[in-house]
Amino acid sequence: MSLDWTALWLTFKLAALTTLLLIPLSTPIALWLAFSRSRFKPVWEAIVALPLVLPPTVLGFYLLIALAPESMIGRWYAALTGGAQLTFSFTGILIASLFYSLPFAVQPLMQAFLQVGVAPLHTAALLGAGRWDQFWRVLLPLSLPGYLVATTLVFAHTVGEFGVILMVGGNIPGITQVASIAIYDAVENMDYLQAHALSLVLLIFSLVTLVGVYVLSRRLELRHG
Amino acid sequence: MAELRCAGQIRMQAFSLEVPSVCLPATGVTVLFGASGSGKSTFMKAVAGTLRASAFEVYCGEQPWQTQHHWLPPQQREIGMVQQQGVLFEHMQVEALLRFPLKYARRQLFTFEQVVQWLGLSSLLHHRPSQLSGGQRQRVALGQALLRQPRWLFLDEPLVGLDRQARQEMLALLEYVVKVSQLPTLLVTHALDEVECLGDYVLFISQGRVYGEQQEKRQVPVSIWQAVSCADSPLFSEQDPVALLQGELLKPRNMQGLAEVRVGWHILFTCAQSLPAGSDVRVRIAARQILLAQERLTGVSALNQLALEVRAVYIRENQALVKLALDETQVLWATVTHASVKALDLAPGRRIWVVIKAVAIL
Repeated sequence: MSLDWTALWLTFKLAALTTLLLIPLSTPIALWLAFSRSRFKPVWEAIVALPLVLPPTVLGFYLLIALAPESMIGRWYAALTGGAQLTFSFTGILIASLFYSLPFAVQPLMQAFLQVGVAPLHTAALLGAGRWDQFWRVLLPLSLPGYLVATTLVFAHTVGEFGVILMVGGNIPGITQVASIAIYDAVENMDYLQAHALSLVLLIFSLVTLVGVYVLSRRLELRHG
Repeated sequence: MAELRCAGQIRMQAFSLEVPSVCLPATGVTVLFGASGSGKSTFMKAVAGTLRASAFEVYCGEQPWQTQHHWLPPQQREIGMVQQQGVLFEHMQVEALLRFPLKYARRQLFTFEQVVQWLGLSSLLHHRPSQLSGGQRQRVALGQALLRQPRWLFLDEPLVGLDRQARQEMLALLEYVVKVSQLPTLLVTHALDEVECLGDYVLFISQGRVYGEQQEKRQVPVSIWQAVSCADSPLFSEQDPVALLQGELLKPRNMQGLAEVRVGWHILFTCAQSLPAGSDVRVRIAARQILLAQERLTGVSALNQLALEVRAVYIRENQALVKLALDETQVLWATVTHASVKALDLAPGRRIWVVIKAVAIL
């Protein structure tokens, strides 16, 4: 038996791309949730948190319908790419991952922004910094621990994704069959050795990542504290 | 340099501040004086734009900062602000903190080197905020405010939270900076010594209202000299009066630690002044520190004895406040008991010996 490197590589690629896209996309959402005084804030907070409580199959089901070739998004995507479809494709599971991991990016960032508070932003403004510089020169550096936590959580959570990918992407080796699904597949086929090997890789990876996060975030806090 | 004019109402959840049409002069230090919780800082933040007050208008010279239809964000108001226990960005060293506002400055009033030298920051340039003491933090904040190259300097209780020594040092530094920078300054405080050391004009704030003296439908700040020569001045409502005198330093501190200051036609011995001879100086004398006598005393340690005329006697609940004329305009205050008023026969027109220790002249 050889370890299913294709599935592992696909998992890594999906997690890396999800993280790369989701962190910048979540930043404005987290900023708004942290600093807005809108009455509708609780509603938006709830919507962002939904993927935490919803069964992945429910989220996957709605995404499957929204991304289907005959849906508006599906038709638009097909027109744009010359016939490609989103469901059962890598792009499809990437989009699904973005939704699925959204709270894992938004919540730590929002917490970090709240902890920094508005006072440093006011100070920066009084010193002459516009909104853009208030973010880049003050808020972002002061929120680095939050960014670290968000990055790692999104990456690790995407690695652990199963139900949503199965719903939206199915189980196509080399395209949508990520490690978690490959494990399921191996068990179905009574290939316990492969299942063991992949599971162990994911277990060790997750443990190492989490230890890394805790060590680093403590160090960052010590430096700032 | 341009004067600041503001008017309107500043509303917060459980609090509302009435600001009649007020004009802050384009030169010198205007003090906004009031008890804690009176809304002084709120007023300053509303003028600076970090607190959004909708029914409030502010103009800097001819430039509108905020009107009903227009709102200039704080980064465009060009204010250098030092706040009480203000924020220093924890991820930067002092040098980066000081250089932070240079990128946004629209004119050059002060150079980096100048400010570092004035504030004695050269040895701290590579420190992080977490390594600084409270006094050092405020010095860095003041440096940042100056390097903003501002049109106005705003000081929001800059000495609160400092220990005694740091407070004295910072006060002396502010006195110096206000003088050399020539920036129009708004100082918010409720400490009498800050008002008397730094202030040129005073505005008062109490019971949700800002006021000075009425002048053509607008409130203008009261001159500090007028404010300290009035027995029922709000400056003295909570604190025992402290006389403020303008003088000229005749002789700087000598070997025995004594300096001579000429105030009107009197010469006072003090040990507080360290400036060179010929400087204009302010001296302060607390009413409680003054002793009144019928005759010149002999064999006492107090170095200053002046024969002055009683201008007025104000009988208060527990004690009396005696106003003494030092010259045509300047006055000294003395707090005495009712019994002393009777024993010394204190009444307007009476000449009396005023005894002041050199160490009581600040």
